[in-house]
Amino acid sequence: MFNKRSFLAIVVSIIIVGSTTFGTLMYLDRRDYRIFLGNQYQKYLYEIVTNVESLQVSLSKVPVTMSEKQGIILFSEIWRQASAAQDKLNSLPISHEALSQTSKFLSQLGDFSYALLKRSNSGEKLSDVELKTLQKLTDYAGYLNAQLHELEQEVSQGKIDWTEIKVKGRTLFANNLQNPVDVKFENIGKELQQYPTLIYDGPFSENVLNIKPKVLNESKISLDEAKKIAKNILGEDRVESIDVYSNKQGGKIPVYPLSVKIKGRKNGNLDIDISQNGGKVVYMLDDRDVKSSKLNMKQAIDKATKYLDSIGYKGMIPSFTLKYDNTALINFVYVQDKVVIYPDQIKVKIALDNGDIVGIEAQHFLVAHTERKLQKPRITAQEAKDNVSQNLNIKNIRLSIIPMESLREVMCYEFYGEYNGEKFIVYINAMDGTEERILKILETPNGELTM
Amino acid sequence: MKRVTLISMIALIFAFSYCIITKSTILYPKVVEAVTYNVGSSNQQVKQIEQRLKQLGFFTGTPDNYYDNNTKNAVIKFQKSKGLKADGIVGDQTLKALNISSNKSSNSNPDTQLLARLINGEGRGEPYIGQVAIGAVVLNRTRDPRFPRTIPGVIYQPGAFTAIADGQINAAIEESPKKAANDAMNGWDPSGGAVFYYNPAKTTNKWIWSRPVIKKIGKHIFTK
Repeated sequence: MFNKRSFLAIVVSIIIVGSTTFGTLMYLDRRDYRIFLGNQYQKYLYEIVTNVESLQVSLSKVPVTMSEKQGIILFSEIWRQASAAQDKLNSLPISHEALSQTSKFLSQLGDFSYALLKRSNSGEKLSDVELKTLQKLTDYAGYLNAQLHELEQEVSQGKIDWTEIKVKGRTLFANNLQNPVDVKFENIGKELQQYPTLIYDGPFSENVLNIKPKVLNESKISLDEAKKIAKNILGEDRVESIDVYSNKQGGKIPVYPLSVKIKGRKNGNLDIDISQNGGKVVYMLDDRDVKSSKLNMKQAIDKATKYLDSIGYKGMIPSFTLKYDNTALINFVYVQDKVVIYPDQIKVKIALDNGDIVGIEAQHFLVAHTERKLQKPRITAQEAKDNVSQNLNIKNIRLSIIPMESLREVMCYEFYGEYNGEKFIVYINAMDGTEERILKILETPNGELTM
Repeated sequence: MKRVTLISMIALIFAFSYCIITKSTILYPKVVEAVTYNVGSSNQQVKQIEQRLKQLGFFTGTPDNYYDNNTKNAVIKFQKSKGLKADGIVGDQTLKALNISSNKSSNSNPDTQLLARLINGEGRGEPYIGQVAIGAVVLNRTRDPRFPRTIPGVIYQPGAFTAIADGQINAAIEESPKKAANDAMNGWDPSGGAVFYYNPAKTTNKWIWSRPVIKKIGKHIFTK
C-alpha cells in the first residue's frame, strides 16, 4: 500500500515537474519571439520617423530652389523617402481602417513628387498653384512627423507594446478600434483627410482613381436584353440556361453578373458579366479543365480574331500572346486610321484542345474606348528616327497611341527593333520627338512578355 | 475512489500536455512535388535537361522539348558517370547533379505562385470566379494608394488576410487556385474592382459591413 502510494506520488511529481518545465520553456521561447517581433516593429517605426522627417525637410526646400537640377534631386529624395515610409508603415500591425488615410497621403506625395521630377527633368517650372500645394503638403508632413515622434516616445517609454497589439488586433476585421496605435492613426487620418486633392501625371492622381469609364455614356439595357446578348456571344446552340450569380451590383462598370449552363456539361462553370450600359461583355470565364493542346498559337490567333469580329469588335489586331494551362491568351488592340490604340485592349482566351473561347477580358477597352479625334503627327517618322538609339536595328515602324501612367494618351512612333539578339520597342512622341518609353520583349516558352 | 480520481487526473495531465505538444508542432504540409522526367515527357524542362547534357558532352542531338530514347541513353551515360542509379529517369537527384533547379513551375513567376497559395488558403471550396476575384482583390490593392504596392506587401500586410494569420497559406495547394492566380494576373477581375471581401457569416466588424458592396460571389461579399 505504502509502496504503491509513493510510486504514485513519484509519478505525479514527475508529471508536474515535467509539464511545468515544459511550460516555462515554452513561455521563454514565446517571450523571445515577442521581443524579436517588437524589435522589428520598433526598428520600422524609427525608420519611418526618419523618412518622414527628411521628406518634410526636402519639401520645405522646394520653394527656395532656383535650378531644375536641385529640384530634381529634392523631388527624387521626397519620392524615395515617401515610398520607404509607406512601405514600412504598411508592415506595422495597424488596422487598415486606421492606417488607410496616412498610407494614401504618403503614396500620393511620393507619386506627385515623381511626376514633378519628370517635369523638372523636361525643364518645366512649377506653377504658383503647385507651389502653394507643396506648401500645404509640407505642413501636413510636419504634422505627421510630430505625431510619429509622439508615438515613438510612447513606445520607448513602454506605454505601448507592439506585441500586445499584435495579439489583440490579429486580423484586420477582428475588432473595432481599441488599441492606442489604431486610435492614434485614426486621428492622424482625420487630419490628413484635408490635404489638397492632387491632380498630376501619375497613377495615384485623383483623376485616375476616379476615372469614369467611357462605356457609361451608352444607354441602359434590361436584364433580359443582357441575357440575349450573352447568348449571342456564347453561341445560341451551346447555352442551356442563364442565371444571375450575384444579387448585388455596384462596381465601376455596373453589370449583369450572369452564370451560364452549357448544354451537355456536368461540371465546370461559365460566368459572364454584361455591362448595364451598352450591353457589352466585361469579362467571361469558363473554368472547364483543358487537358491537352492540339491547336498551335497561329490557329488560336486565327480563331480569336474571327471570333472578335463575329461579336462586333471590328478592327482589332493581336499584340501579344501567352500560353498557360493549355490555353492561349491573345491580347487584341484597336486600330483606328492605321494608328494602333494600345489603351483599347481586349484579351481572349482560347482552349487549345478544341478551340473554344474560354475567356474574354474587356475592362480596359470599356474604360478607354471611344472614337478618337486623332491629331496629325507634327514630326515625320524619319525625324523621329533621329531620336532613336543608333544601336537599335529597326525592323518596323508604325504610329500608335500609348497610355501613360496617368492614362493620358500620347501619340508615338513605335520603333520595333533588335539589339544584341534581344528585341525592344522604342516609343518616340510624334508631336515633339521625346523618347517616351522603351519596352523590352522577353521571349519565354509561354509567349512574349513585354517589360 | 481516490485512486480513480488520481489516475484520471494523471490521464488528464497527459492528455493536456500531449495536446500542447502536438498543437505546437503540427505544421501544415509543405508544397513539395517530386518531379520526374521519363521517355514520353515533353516540356520546357526536358529541353533544359538536353541542353545541359549536350554541354557536358553526353547528348548529341538538337535539344527539343521531347524526352526520347536518345535522351534516355544520354541520361544513363550521365548517371553512370556520376555514380547515380542508371535508370534513365531524371528525378530530383539527377536534376541536382545536372545543376538544374527541380522547381516544377520554374517558369511561373514567384508573385503568381504566392498569389495562388493565398487563394488556396483563403478560397478553397469557393466557386472558380470567387477564387479569381480573391486574386483580383490583391492586385487591385497594389494599384490603390491606401495599400502596399507589391503583391507580397499586400498579402503579408499584418492583419490583412486570415490565411496568413492562421498559416492556411501553407496548406497543400490544389489545381484550381493555380489557374485562378494565372487568370487574375492576366487581368481578369470578377470582383468588379473590389479591394475588400468578407464572409458575412464570420465577420462582426461594423466598418467592413459599412463598405459599399459590389458583388456577392459564393460565400464572399466583395466591397469597395
